Amino acid sequence: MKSIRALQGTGVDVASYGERITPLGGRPLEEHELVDRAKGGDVHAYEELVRRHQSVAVRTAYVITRDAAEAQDASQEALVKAYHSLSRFRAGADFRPWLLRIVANEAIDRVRASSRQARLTLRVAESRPSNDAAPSPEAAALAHDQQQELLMAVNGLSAADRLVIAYRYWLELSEGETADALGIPRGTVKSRLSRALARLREVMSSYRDPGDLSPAEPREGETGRA
Amino acid sequence: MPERPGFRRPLREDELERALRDVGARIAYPEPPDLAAVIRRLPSRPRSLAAPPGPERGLREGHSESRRARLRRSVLAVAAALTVVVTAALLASPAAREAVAGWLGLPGARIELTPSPPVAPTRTLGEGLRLGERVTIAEARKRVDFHVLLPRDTVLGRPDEVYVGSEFAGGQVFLVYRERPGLPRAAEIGVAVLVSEFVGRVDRELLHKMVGPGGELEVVDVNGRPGFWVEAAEHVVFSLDRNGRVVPDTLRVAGNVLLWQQGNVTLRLESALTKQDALSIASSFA
Repeated sequence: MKSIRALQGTGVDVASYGERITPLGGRPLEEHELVDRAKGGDVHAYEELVRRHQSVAVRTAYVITRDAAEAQDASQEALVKAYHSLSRFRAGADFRPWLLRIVANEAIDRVRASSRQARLTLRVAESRPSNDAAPSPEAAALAHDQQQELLMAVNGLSAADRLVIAYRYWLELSEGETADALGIPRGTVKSRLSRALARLREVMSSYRDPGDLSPAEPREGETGRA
Repeated sequence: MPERPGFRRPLREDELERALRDVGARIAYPEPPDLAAVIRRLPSRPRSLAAPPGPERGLREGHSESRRARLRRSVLAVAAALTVVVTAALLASPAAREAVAGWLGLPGARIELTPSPPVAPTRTLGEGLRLGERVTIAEARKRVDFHVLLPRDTVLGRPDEVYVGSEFAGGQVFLVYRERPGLPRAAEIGVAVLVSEFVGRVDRELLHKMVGPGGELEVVDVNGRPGFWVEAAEHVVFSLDRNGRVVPDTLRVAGNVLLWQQGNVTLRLESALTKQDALSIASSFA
């Protein structure tokens, strides 16, 4: 079972973590117990399981779809599919990366099937961080335009690159979880991440040294008429 | 050129990681999905299959619980537990799933994976493309700060739908054209032609990098000025709006795009058209 600290910042509802389904004695059920019950058709156990991971699920979907409604639909669909696939969940495995893999696949399928990807971008919240924690001093130091620029650069990456960055830096998955969620060997997470970061740097460096299509400033009074 | 916002030097690795974490904490993530809606879609099965039988289960004959009855109850509990194990092990094969559903007294219980629900048909051409607000040409002209250009090309004609977006300072106008003879549908956008107009500049260097392998980027002449032809590439265009702000104009296309400028307006034509046809249409914008 993940420690509470490991869940902070992941969108898992820490306050309610493990509090909902308790056997008669009151001990919160371990995740594997909930999985076992859910496998046996206990919808309530599944509900509790999902409650613990629904935030990280929708965030994962959002990193891929970059559209809030689509991310919610994708994660909802994935949660239903995951229930029906529980028989294939390997006993003793971590539930979260297994679930995220289903979520990511669902989100990717939707992106492929849709023409809506045009112009979609991840967005920064207007005023406050998306979780309730106060911003760190570093966060406060990162100027708004820098955040925007960094996020734009991330937007310019492929969904696969965005996902590995999100898993490691935004959703705080461990290296092992990231590997499982991406379906890659554990030894390749680092290289996958460093390739994504290299591409990110490339995008960012081109911000500093842009070339122009046209004269730098539009001429005064130009209307655009041919 | 206005001073560029953002980072002015390459970040060290630790700085980049920290910056990424900071940005991650500020992303406007959507709310979690409707959990109740998820649960409603699951097949309902008796909870007692998984949980030990509770006291409410009772006994068939109403007398007080005898030692035999207690024994019987624990046998039931074991049987229930066994059922769960067997179920989990057997669900792998479709035939077994059916059989198991039968044993459980749930013939027809849905154990199969369900396919995605069909996508609702779109009512307007631009619906789903997230272009902004649908307006008339006259309204669009009032809403943006630049002169909206329209093509004189007779095949293209008047746009079927017009939208106004707000991503760019000064506004952005989209002209949407449905498929018709001579105008094939571009699968990636679901319409034949999508023209977008905004005040800004296209970042040439960035465009080169974004097109990536497999994509072709060609400098072409549109009305005597340089334009870009991007073919069959999944790419992203970053543009600078008139305030020098970088605006990511994300395209996820495998189709063809022509980018050019007329005066201070940047135009982008997305379609399944050939370069020649696209150029011919572009030269008719006025």
